[in-house]
Amino acid sequence: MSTKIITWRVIQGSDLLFVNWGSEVIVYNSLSGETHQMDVFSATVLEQLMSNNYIEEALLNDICRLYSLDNNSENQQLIALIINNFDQLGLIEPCY
Amino acid sequence: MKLKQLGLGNLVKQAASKEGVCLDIGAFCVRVKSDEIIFLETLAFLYQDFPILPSDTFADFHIVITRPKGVRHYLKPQVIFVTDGQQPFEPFPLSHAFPLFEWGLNWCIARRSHQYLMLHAAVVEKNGKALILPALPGSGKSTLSAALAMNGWRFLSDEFTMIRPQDGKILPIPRPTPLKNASIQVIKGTFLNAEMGPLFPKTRKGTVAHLRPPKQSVEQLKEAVLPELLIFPKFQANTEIQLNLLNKPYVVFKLASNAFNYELMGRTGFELVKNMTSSCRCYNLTYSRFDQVLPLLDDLLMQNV
Repeated sequence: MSTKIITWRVIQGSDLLFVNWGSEVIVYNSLSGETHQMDVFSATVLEQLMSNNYIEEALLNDICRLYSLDNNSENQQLIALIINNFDQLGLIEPCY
Repeated sequence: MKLKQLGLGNLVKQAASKEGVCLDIGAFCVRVKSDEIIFLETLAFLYQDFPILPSDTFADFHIVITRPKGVRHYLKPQVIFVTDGQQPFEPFPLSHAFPLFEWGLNWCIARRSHQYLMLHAAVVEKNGKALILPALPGSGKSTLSAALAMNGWRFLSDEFTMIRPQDGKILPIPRPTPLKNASIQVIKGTFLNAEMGPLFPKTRKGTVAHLRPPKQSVEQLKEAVLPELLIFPKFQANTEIQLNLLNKPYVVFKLASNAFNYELMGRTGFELVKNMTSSCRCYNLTYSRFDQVLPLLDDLLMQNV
């Protein structure tokens, strides 16, 4: 049985506002009215998802290139965790 | 004209009339109608420096303080708060008419004034710079703001920090400060010129007495001011004073949860909180003594960072 590959995008209709305070970033989601706090790396992942729809692997590739990171299993797990968190927070959604 | 120039006799007549009395409390106009002398006497004393507006002025809130219908008032007189024809609260004892008016007016402001971002915070000003004191009930913000008001700061509010979206300035509502329980004697004992209304025992918050706002603060009730300091105060008996710088993202969340209408204001609320957090110096403050906290806040305001 094959695992279904999900393409992720920022939730349609949301307008995300970013405020960078050193190592921490505040993100306001105008659609939900909620305010989120995250580290700079997570915020960069979210901004990348705002620019394109991504499957996890392509997102990992682009982020690793952007940050000059190794495309290894550790970073793969990190991206998977961030995607899961964004999904839980209602910041991103699958697109079909 | 100020309320004290009207005189109690004329206030009683006007408050009982169809038009009532239109009080300018700074950010708002309140139309008050009542036929209860016990209430009007306290209103006349505590609001004596507030302007009265012409009866055809647009009023933000229409409030009636009167007795409920029925025969009960022959045994134990009660009083009700009516706004726009509705009675949102159970009756209070007649003797507690003034606290009922004050709490009811707070309720009206918190429910309806969504043209402003409303923080649950006291606010005072000196040298054109506002000090905001957001805090939960019981943290001592009313007592601290009263002490600052009695110590040369301009008093803007003990309960609401009303922030105008157009320019981020804070609008005053320098109404009487309800001091509770031990705070009453603390302020009376420390500031001999403090003028208080009557004691109201056995309210839901214990014994309450209202501090009359300084005349100068009421005279400046139309002067909005920009925020400079954001301090989250906590009174803790017998502790050394502590001031800790806060990081900005933490402050955004503290203010967002402190505001009455942050989510309701949407993006505007976020922008206001963000801008205020960016421009202000932000601290946690634990204090137990006025002789330590008052000079510290004076010094802090004077620092140019």
